[in-house]
Amino acid sequence: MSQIEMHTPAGGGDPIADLSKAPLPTGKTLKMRQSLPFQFTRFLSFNGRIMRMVIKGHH
Amino acid sequence: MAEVVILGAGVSGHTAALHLRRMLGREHSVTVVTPNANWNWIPSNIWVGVGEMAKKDVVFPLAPVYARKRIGFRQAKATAIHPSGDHEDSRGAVDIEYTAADKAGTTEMLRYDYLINATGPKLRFEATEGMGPGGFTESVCTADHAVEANHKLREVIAKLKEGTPQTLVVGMGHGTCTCEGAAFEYVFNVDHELREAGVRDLARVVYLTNEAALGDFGVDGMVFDQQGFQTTSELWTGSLFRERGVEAILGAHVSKVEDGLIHYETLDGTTHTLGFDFAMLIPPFGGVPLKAYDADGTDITAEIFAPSGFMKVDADYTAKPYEEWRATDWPTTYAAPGYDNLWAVGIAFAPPHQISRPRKTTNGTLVAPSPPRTGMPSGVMGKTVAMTIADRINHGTGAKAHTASMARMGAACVASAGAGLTRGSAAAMTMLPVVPDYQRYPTGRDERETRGELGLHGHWVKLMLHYLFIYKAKARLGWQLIPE
Repeated sequence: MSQIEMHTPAGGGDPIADLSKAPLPTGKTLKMRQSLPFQFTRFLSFNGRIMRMVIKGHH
Repeated sequence: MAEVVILGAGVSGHTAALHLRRMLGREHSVTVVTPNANWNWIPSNIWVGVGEMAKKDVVFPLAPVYARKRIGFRQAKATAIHPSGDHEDSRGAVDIEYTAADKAGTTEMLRYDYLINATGPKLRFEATEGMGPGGFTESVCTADHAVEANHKLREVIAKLKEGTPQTLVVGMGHGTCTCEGAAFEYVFNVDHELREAGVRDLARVVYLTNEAALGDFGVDGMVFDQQGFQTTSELWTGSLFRERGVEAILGAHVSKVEDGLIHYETLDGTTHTLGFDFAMLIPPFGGVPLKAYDADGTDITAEIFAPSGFMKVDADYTAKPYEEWRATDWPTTYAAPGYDNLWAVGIAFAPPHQISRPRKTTNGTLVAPSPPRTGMPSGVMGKTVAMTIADRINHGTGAKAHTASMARMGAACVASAGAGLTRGSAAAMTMLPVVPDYQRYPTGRDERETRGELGLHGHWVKLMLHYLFIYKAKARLGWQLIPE
């Protein structure tokens, strides 16, 4: 079941998905997305995940 | 002495060739047949398509690499396979036609002991009237297409700078397209470029997709564990689109494109038109046209290939409803049924069915994202088959086949925008496995490894993958240590 509904405006416009209830990031989240020290830890975590996938699922 | 022939030099074919050369003695030959002179790191075409990279940054000539590694190279396209040979020789053979300028049109028959079909996709722009570089829309499927897309994008940005509002549409050009991740990444990049140019407020950016829900990506969406709560790729993607002000039209089948006008139908059966000043639409993929003949010349194309043109392998192709699809339907060895020396890998193999639930509009039009086969799984398939062939050559034809199912292996998808190390941004996703296994995991996938994150680190990952995989593809020192 889709969480995001399509919305066709009266008058036959384009049926645009209603994103008004999609969560927006807070100011803190936006700041953390650009924080070099925090992002470096996420970089290491992402690479760790890729390597685990290589070990778990490749052969 | 054994002769191995590989059709195609994309991620899977090139990976197979390099590993085979590494694992086989010099008395055995490895030959690659590909119509292209260059290798292309296709994921970075997205950056070429917005001018962040040049074509030379994403391609390099294959001939010097193959000469250095002593891999045979024919710049040619395969036209037919004879898996049981012909009246002259029972060994398998493949007909090829040269595409290099100096020998264009010349034909040759290559004999083989082992054959890998890694021909990749045929870009079926013709499936939608008016779509593609010969029509009214752009593409980023090849480096040349991406260069042209960037030229058109710059024209639109120039008009925006003059104060003329523009509509930019990015998405899928047919109801059965795959590679939604590429369109998602491109729209993310287009939005970024418009912001960098200071003209975002005058631009309408629309993501037009065959996905029934945002975040489907042709893999039935994902469930993420986020701070102890389950969230979906749909909500996560929706958040990104809302934040960026990108409009989304879902469940769409594009039926026709005219100059500045896209005709499409949505799942409720209604038809619409969408005006545009710039459109990048991904075409549906089909198998590269290849015929197949038995030893007596009988046409066995329909036995070897699915109607889509992709080669049948060890998958369960029994037609069954979505609810009965299983992870075990997916191939593990990629061997063609009935042949112990013929394989298809990467995009060239025929998937048993879609991954996302296929749908039809109320008019009966199929809207069914096809399964993506991205770089990571394609590379793994190429290496897996290379290991099987090397074992059979080195240890006897009874050696057991190596396996790698898309229902066991993972994939990463990084949609990155920007340039440099401090000004980029990215949506980075990992999933394990690619094909959900609801018998094994309640959400279909391993929640620990299936994640979506936004931030600068994803941009670093994408840059790292760009340089690492080009290094690997050039077979530089230690290339084999870089995982697929």
